[in-house]
Amino acid sequence: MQRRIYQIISQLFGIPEDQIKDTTAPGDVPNWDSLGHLNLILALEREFDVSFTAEEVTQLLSVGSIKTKISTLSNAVE
Amino acid sequence: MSIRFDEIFSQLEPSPGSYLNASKKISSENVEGLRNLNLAVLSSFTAEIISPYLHVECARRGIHLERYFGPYNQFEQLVFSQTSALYGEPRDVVLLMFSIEDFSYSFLNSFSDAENELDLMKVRITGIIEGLRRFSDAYILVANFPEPFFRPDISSQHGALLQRANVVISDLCKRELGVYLFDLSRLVSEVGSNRWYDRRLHYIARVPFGFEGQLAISKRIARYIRALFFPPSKCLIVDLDNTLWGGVLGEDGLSQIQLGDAHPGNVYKEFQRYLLFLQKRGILLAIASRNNEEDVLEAFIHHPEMILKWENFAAKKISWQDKTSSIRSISAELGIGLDSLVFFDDSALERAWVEKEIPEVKVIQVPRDAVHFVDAIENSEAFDQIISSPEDANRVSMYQQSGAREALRLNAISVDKFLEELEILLEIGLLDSMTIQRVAQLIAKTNQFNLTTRRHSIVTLQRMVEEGAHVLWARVSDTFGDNGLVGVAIVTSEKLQHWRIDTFLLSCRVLGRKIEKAFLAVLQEYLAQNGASYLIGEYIPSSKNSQVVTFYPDSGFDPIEDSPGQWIINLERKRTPKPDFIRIGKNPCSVGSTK
Repeated sequence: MQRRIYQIISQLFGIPEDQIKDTTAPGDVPNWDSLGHLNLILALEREFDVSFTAEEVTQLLSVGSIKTKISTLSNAVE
Repeated sequence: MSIRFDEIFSQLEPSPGSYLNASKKISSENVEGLRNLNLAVLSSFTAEIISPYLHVECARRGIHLERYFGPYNQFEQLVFSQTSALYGEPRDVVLLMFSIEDFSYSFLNSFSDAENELDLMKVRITGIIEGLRRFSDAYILVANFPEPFFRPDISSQHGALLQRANVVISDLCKRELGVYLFDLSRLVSEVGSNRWYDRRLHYIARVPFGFEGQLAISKRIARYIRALFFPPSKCLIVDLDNTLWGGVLGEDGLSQIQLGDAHPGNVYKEFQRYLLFLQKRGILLAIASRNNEEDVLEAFIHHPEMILKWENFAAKKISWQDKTSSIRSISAELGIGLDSLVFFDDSALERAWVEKEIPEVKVIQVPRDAVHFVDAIENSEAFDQIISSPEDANRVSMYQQSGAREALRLNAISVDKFLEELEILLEIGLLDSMTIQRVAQLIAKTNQFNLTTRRHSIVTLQRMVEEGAHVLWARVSDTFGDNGLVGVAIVTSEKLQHWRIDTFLLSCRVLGRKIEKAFLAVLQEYLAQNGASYLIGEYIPSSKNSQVVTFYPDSGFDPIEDSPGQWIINLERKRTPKPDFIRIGKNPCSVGSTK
């Protein structure tokens, strides 16, 4: 799952996968602005077939928190 | 179009990632062979999110589109000022989009005032269009209002009011030169408002379309732009059997072909009506069919359900020769280039052959089910037409020559006049328990008009107040409604009557109206009354706040020697002038409401 998340981020924001860590956040990535964030959310929802609430969208501001949230949502489905 | 482009488009999927990638690839390709066009989008909300989709969908249609998105909700500021960024490059098309809530906050609630609101709307949009026309020859597309995603009750009057607003817009477009309706309402209906909107985007960022809506609107805008700059195809060549009627004339006989008011004949009858409609619009019809000419002539003369007549067709190639030869001779006979022909044939084999032999001809992918025939032609975009006549095109150039624009320039409305008519009311208050949440939110989120971008948390804010800082908020309303709390200023006292502005910010919602000057002026008044003699302002650059780099010097502050980014004003000698057209309401200056 981590690999897929990193791939999406890398593709969307144009940064190499090996530069992405759990702590990576909008401040660290030039293209991860508010617009980029919305596109990231949409891409993640498609990839993992999950749905974030509006509040979650505004709170998922680090790669680590994204991983945790997707993990929780995917497990809930199972 | 290059092979590379074909590859890019064939790999395209309906997802943000796929389009963003395609957009990057197109940018790095040689765009020769695409027509360069320039679009400016002025909207009451941030629309920039559609930029890559527009880029790709235009490239697909042979257009290399330069895109400019004006800062949102600054129509008049951009349009009335000849030096604004809007006019920085010559534009080919300007798209105006209004979200009803942003455009007129009170509109949907003002049943008693509906006439007045509609009039205001008409005046405002007319003003914007005329303003544009003074400095730009661009085509103007004006979007109408779609259904908002929430309507309080089923039979409410909102719907009727919205329809009337759309009639206002539609009438305006008919009246004005080179101004066309962008039927957004229809598009949202086509997609379905349940699929169009993503409520989260609306609440988080006031973006009035989810991804599906974003993609659909981009395709539609691209389609309009193409229709404005490329002529429609001139001639539609149709087959006969299983196209204009059900069945095969030569085998089933005249009385057995399906054409009439009952199913399945009604599908073909309807299709004939559609072709007649195209013909009336000026598109030539032609037949390329393998049949006996006498049988066909008899069918047209004697079948009682024929909508189309023999005379409706500008050319008829009814013989046993192959379709490519027929198409070539239609082209020669009518004097129409092959690339202006559209071929509609239900046989996949025939279509494949024509595609291979005469690639210039546009071949419609005819669906198996005749109920979709009309859609297939519509979706091909081949006959899209916005400029309805050569007369219309002539009028535009005559208008340019006659100096009508000069007349408009003389009656010019300026940005200042517009700002005056807004009747802006500014209220200022001190932080309290009711306002602290909103203030903290503004501090956390405001990026552009933010002098120092200090992200004080709520806890820090409280501590600062306890330690003697003053936190002021600004609230703005105008003729269109209440903007709410939109500005924050935090000042701390230093030594001896020197105060420092720790934070000064304004929501981008209210930029372009000189509100920041009024806020600063009142702040200075307040501090002076509290014993301040000097006020220090700081500018800390960030990646987003470059627009405020000269804010303090522009407001009358002087630089502090050896301290770049620090400015000072002597309140006893000088003040930032307050713009006349802004009224000050409730504020903490002890002299009461100032004028």
